[in-house]
Amino acid sequence: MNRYLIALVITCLIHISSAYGVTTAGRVTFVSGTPKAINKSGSQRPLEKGQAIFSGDTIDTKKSLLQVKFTDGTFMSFNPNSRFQIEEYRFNGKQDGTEKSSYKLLKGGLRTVTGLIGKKNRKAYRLRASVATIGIRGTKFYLELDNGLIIYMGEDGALEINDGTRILFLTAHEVASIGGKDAVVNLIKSGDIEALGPIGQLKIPGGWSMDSYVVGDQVNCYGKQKSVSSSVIIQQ
Amino acid sequence: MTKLLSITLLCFVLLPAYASDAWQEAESLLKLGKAEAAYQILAPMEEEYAGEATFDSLLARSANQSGHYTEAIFAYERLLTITPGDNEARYQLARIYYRLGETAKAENTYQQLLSSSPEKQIQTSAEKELEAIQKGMLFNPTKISGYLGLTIGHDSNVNGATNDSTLIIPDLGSGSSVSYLPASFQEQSDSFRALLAGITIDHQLSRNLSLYGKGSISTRTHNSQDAFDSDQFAIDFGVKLDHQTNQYLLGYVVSEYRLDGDEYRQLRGAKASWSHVLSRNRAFHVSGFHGQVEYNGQDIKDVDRSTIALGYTVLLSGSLAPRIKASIYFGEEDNLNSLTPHLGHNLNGVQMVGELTLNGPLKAYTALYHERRDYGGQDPLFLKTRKDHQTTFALGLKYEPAPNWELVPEIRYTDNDSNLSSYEYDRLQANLLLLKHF
Repeated sequence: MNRYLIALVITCLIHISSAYGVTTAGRVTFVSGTPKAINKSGSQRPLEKGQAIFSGDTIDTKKSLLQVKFTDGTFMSFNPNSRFQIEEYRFNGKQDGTEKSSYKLLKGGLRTVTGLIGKKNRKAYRLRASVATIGIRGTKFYLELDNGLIIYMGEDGALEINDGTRILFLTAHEVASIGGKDAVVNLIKSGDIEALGPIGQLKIPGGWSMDSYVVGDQVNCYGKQKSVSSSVIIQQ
Repeated sequence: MTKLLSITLLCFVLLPAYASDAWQEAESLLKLGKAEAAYQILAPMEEEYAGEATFDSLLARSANQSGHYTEAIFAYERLLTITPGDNEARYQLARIYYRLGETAKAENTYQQLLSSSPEKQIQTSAEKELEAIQKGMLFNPTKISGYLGLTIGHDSNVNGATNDSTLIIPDLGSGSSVSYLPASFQEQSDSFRALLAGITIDHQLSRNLSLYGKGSISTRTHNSQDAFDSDQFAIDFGVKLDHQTNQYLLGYVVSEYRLDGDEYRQLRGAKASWSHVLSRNRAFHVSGFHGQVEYNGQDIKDVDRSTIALGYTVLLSGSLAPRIKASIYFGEEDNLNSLTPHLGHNLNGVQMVGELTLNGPLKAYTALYHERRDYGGQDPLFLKTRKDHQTTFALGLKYEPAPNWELVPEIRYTDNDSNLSSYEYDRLQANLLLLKHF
């Protein structure tokens, strides 16, 4: 009986949302406690398993664990005490260029496995936090917004993070902190400081580059020997 | 209408039975070690059955054992909300957090677990792993990374030779004689292709101490100037210590340069470096090297090489996010044969590298190197002490079309200015590098 009721409620909500031109973004898969959704006009509704969430909603998890499956297959699990805004969401079941998801993490943290939006067209997916914008390349990650943003990559996929000054790529198992952390320390620890040098022929590991860089001994002291030699260039 | 209602009711009666069968099948597969197969059965049912303890337990275990760690976290977090006393689930969740580098969450979860007096086996494992986290140890203390690259390009002077066809050699008497260099001894241009590969292994010994090892190989082949085909091998290993805002490194380097298939020169020696973070975006580096450069079959040219370098790195904010690294260095190549001091030299130089982020994954860089070399004695052929000034300027783009891929077009100009005209040359190289990091 409960199944009928849930199906009926969902159907009604979908019809109501369609009538008002609001796109269904996804559905609550799991909930503990009493999270709520706040729509664009400010009206609130409690979230329960099976309920739809819509483009324009802001989710407030309160003290709950909340999990949502989006229509493009994205799965999100929100930490307790998180606020998350679905700024814009469009997906008609196809990756035809009209799809778009734009999210904003206002508070707390979330873990996600991303879906079809952004898979073909990376610009279609944006997740903003106060200190950075995240673009995806089909991935799994966990975000925590607490005096700066900490991003933990999951076991596969990739992220691009724009902190307003540069784009950082993250791949599986990498961790990045944006804002409130020391950029140089991160660079040194990740070895990225070495990447500052031009990579072409100079980027030969070992702290030393053996470039084919002639010191001039192609004519030796007897005027006979001809050969190319190399000088060793310091590359700290 | 009656028919439709009957079918719907039948579905609702049969679905739980179907689900139960599917769960049993998944459980059996899990017992047989076929976690991926079990996961594939359960994953499509998640939306419907999430929140049912039996289902979440099965899904969490199959996802965890098949390497779908993020999905396993979703299921374990649900399961622990429903059955907070499931110590095995809490232990596995803590372990996944640790594996994924989420150490604060892992530590908190291990502590929650230990405070609930778990079974002996779980307690022992949890204590051991918690201690490792508190000691700053990574879940997997060994990291392996590397790269593969392919370069194509053109070099205006593959042999780094003068374009002057004459050699003016002073006589011991009053005048001088003129010799003519054959065309093959003068500068030769050619196209080339090169392959390069490298691997780096880091092994963490404790919170601050790690061992590292790096190996690289590259080979450059010319279209027609086979005599200048070259191969390079390098190995670098040592120990790294991180302490607060300092990183210390002590290592040993061996590299070999082969020309036309024959060993030409080998370098080996010890290096040490200290990097100190001055502020959020600035760091200072000091490094030193002492070793030997040996020329195969030309022992007369062997030298001891010593250098010390001081460097400064600054990362600036702004729309182009400039990154600048500059260093100065001093050193000497001391010829081991007292009869041929002119083969050794003192050297000093500067290096400047700058990089700008132009547009997301597109960066531009420029590099300027200048080295001055004062040789240690009079050249017996030219009766002069050689002095060289060598300048290299490079300009390039780095484009990252996808994570771990780089496409790098570069042009590089080198000019060697010498007081002995036969050592004067210039060289223009243009190349395109495709690099894949892994």
